[in-house]
Amino acid sequence: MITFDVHEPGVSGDILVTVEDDPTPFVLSLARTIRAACRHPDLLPVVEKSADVVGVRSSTDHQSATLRFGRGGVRVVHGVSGDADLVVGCDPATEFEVHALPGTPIDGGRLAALNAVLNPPLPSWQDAATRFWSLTGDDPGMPGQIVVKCSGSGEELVLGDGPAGVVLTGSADQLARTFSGLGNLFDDLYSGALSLVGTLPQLSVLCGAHWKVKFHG
Amino acid sequence: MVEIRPGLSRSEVADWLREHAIDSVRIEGTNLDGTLIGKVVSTKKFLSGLETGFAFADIAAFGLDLGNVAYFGFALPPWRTNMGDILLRADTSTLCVWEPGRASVIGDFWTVDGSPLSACPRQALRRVTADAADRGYRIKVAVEMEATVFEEPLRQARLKGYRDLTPLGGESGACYVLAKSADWDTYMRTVAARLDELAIPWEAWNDEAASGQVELNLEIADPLTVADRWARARQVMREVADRLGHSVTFMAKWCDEFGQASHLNVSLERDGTNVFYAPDGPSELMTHFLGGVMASMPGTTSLALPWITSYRRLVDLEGPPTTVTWGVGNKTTAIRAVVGHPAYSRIEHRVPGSDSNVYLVLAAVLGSGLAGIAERREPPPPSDLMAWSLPSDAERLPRTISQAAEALERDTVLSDALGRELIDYWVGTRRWEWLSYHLHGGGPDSALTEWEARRYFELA
Repeated sequence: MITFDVHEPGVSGDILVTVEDDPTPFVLSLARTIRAACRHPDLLPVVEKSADVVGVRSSTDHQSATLRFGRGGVRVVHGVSGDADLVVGCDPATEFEVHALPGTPIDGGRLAALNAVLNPPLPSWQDAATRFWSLTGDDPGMPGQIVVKCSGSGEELVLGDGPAGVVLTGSADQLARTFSGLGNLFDDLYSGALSLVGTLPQLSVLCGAHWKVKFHG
Repeated sequence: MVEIRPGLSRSEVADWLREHAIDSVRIEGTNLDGTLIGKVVSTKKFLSGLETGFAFADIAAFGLDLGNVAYFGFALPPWRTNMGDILLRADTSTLCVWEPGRASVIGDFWTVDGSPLSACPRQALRRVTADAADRGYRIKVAVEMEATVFEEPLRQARLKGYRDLTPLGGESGACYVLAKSADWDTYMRTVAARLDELAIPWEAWNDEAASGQVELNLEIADPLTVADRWARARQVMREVADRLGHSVTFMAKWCDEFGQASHLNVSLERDGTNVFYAPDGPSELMTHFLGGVMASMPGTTSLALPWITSYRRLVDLEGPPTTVTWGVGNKTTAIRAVVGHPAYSRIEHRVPGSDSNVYLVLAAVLGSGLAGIAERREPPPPSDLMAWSLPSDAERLPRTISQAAEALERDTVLSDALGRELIDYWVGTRRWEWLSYHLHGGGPDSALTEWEARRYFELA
């Protein structure tokens, strides 16, 4: 489910990741990514040490945001603030591999640190799926059970103990991305990166669950 | 026996079709997004489907956004299946000759198992009106319709991306100006003549505040009749524009200047007497009705301002209301109470945009107002000051499609009146709209986007 409820505290480790009222999808995705970084032992210190104000501009559309690090938290708002210490570009499709903008030289170390924070390592597909289910399994319309099949290893994970629901199949990497809220579930089905045995209503609610993790996970 | 009009049997329906030399019937209904949808059937097919209804794909009728992409991302109601059917059953009391050889009839949507379709706006309004009747009230409503007409034909507007168009009638842009070029007058006279042919009573038309903008006022009637006439009048305005080589839009704002509204006027009668009337101000019943409407105003806003562009109207000092306020004779507030007249005492709801679905907004306003009467709700104090540019502690209308959807989701009065399933489906589709806007180049600070113009100009 997409929700607009953004009043969740967003605490990850000792870092409080907050967003403005009525945030954009770009802001929510960035906040979720930083929260994921804060759960990683190697990246949490990077976030804690940073005091940068970072502007992020999408290179494919007009979305933009400002990340304000420091004082025990990260604040994410839409638009690039005039007091940004550095402004970087990103392609939202790569979630969020940042690059220097033309004519805006950036210290390589700083860019690498930012890239690390905005591209935290993915958990295993099993851990991601389990977390996905814990966040969405009780939402209205969700199937009572999701059977997740890894196309490479043949491993299978059953989420939920309700009546038989849907079967979702993909590679280990694809499953880890999907259950972590990356990409777009619908597009990944469309491209064949994932396959689903289920109904259209189940597809709808799974798309919503994916967005919930993408924006609030 | 199937009645086409009181006293008419099926064979008499057939006779009516023959007498009027009808060779096809356009069966039509308004979906959740306010779009008039339907199909044209032969007279034989029409007669055969009078009792069973006519099949429409659920996803095509109620499941596609204005960009022709399926609404996804939320729990779907039971009637949304694997592209199954829903049924449109003709309300034969609405049958009319649309043009030589073709009849038109409005219907309600039903599920295949015979239940009213939860997301059908006409069913929702029908339920609320029946509820009022059960309580002894007869509802009277009127709708003001605003639109902007352009010199360019639609095909040219499309080529231009609906930008840089030439408002019909000149650039004078001040309200009530009669010094318009003849093409503007010709357009509205042709619209009025078509409405007369279709027995849709209109009261007045005039130019509105922006260049090319018109306002058309339909006559007072019961809610279902007014909503049906609204749907048909919009169709007429589009058809006439096309025939005369022009284009017309009901977008809440087609450019960054003036917006367009669809104010609703509502009063209640009991035993032929206007119960909103009192000699010295709002009657007790009007006060409680207002109490209900005011309490649900944030949630109602989601229905009254359905699209991204709808919220661009909400600018202080520009005409539309921006705060959750009401006042007697005060047009800066969200609700203007008209009082002191035995016939004309009423409320005017000034929030709805010209792009709103009148069936839905009426159902919400009436449902919340009737709940206010039942619960003897008191409204906040009336405002006799300007209700714009107020300090930050004044309650503002939701400013975005997302804020309004949240408010609607929380409103239990509206979910009781319209049905939880309708509300949940609506909220899901508004969230889809929010996401689509942001993923197609829009943002909180964007001026009117190309995406909005292409999405809303013809269909909103």
